[in-house]
Amino acid sequence: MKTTIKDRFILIFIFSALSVIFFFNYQDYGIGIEEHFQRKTGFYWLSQVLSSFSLEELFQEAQRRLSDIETFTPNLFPINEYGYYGVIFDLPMALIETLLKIEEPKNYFFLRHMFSYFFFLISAFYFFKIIELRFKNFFLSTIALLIYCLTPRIFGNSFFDGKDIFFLSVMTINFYCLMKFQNKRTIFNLIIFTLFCSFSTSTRIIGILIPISWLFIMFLSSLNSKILKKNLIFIFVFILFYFIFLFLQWPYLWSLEFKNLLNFFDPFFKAMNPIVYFNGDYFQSKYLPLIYLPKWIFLTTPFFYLFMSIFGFYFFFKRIFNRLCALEDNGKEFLQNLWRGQNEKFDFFLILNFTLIFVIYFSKNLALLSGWRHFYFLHFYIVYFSIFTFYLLFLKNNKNLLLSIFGKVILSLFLFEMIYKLYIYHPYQSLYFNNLTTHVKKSLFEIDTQSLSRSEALKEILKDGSSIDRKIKIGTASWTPLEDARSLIDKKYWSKFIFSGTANLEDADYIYTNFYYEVDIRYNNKYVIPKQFKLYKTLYIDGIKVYSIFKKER
Amino acid sequence: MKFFIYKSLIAFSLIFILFHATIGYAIRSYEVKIYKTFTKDKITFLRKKIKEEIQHSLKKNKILSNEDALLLNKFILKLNSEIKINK
Repeated sequence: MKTTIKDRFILIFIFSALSVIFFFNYQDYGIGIEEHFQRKTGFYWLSQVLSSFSLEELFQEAQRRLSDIETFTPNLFPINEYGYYGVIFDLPMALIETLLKIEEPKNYFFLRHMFSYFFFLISAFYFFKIIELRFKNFFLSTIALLIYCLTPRIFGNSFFDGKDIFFLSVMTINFYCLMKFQNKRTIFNLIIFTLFCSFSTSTRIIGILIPISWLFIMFLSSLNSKILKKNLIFIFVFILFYFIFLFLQWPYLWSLEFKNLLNFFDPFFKAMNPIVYFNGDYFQSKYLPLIYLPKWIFLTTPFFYLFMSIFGFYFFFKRIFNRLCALEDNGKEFLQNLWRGQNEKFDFFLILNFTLIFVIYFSKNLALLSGWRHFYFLHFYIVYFSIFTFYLLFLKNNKNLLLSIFGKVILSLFLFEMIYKLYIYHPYQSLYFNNLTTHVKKSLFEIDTQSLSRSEALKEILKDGSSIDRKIKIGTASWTPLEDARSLIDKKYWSKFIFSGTANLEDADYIYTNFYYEVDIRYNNKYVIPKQFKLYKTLYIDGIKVYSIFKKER
Repeated sequence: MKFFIYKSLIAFSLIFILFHATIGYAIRSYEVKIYKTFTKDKITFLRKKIKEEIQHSLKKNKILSNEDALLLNKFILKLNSEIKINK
């Protein structure tokens, strides 16, 4: 499909607008719960890498920063025990920060936010390309791009989440590389696809399902096929390069001993087991009801495309069933597969991948917490399947002009409503609940699980406590390391605060809580606010209680 | 061959879905219920509550009713005699 100048202009406009939005708003967002640990991971592995080269000055600088992190945030997990995280985001970020000699904490965190956001925008462009290649319709691709970027929870997280959104981005680019390879089967395209497969695997272990699904489809395509020999070459090249790339960029493999190879996956399932507040009840993180993930998705995804997505799944499975019924073992080539042509093959790959994810979800007791952010990569499938429905209902074969216009108008209206929600939730889009969720229902779930509200709360306390001529003592009545949020506040104010943590709350001047707990507060009074404190401020957004500050009565 | 693989794949998927929709789901539900009932916080709370009740009862002049005291006395004596016999 050829893009016209008008199409290009629209695309440039959308991406420019999204970029401008970042530069106007990035300072409003707080610091994510994982960011300090990620930064520490980056510097730890950067030091390890630099120690192997003769870059003494750079190495010393990285070491200094690492030691600063350990002094400043001593409670972070030790990297040698949690070294299985991929570093393709954190290590380059650490290197850039070192090279640019950035000293002001808020600047290096904003830099991370900028890279996270713009990498997400790049993935959005590839998502646009996937839809364009698949459906050959510019309008549909543009709508897909807008939904992909502007879904509130995803949009909100893209400003600070260098893990979950980064994985979504890597995975999207990975799928584009697959599509590119499918359309043009060259060794170069295969190697690029392999590179991104290795990135997906190291970023989140569930990404390993992408190469597994692809190998399985290659295996299926090779059976009874004349291209068996060529496919075998591709499979060989893929496996070879996959392991090379994986080894080159995943520190976990550098430190993995041969005797531990059989326990390769064990660390990924080693998890804390905090209490999770879900649906008005308290559960152990390792023993959550199966409905956990579907319910979170259902409540926090804008319903207009969530329903379309459900129909999309139905249409996909229906088509596979029809193909299955039409299978002929000795028939023509296309009758021997569950797909007809490259587009359907790509769809089949996605369905297979998606099914495998759910097989793992249902068969393993995954310790989930913090809503469904570890599964934000499902956003790709949700949008893709919803676009598929839209294509079938309104656009395929230009069925009915009136129906097509009606569909476009409805879709545009819902998009505007979504943008309005982005506005009213700002900068807490990552806490979004859809319109089907009542205010009462919203109170039955954990809200600020990524502790985004910390920086704003600190600024509030600073404003109110400016009259206090001594240091301000702040306690925390939730499972949140409040002191980490000072990184987004000017260094000159740091000495004004004393963070007393969760102990001795009665001695504090202010108490902050974002109502996120790792214990069952019905039986554990660890976070009870002492009587001498009065509510100073509570932030509500769309009926959601985000955080509260309590002030000691004098 | 391909046909066989497809059939096996579909059969495996159906068995998997059937298992997890029935037995797997039931096992998981009970697992969730059990672990939800016996959390560390609940156990600590109960232990604390029992201790408090004992402390509270020590302040009372009388803990047991005459009838209960008599019954317990008989029970302890019986236990004692049985222990002595089997010494």
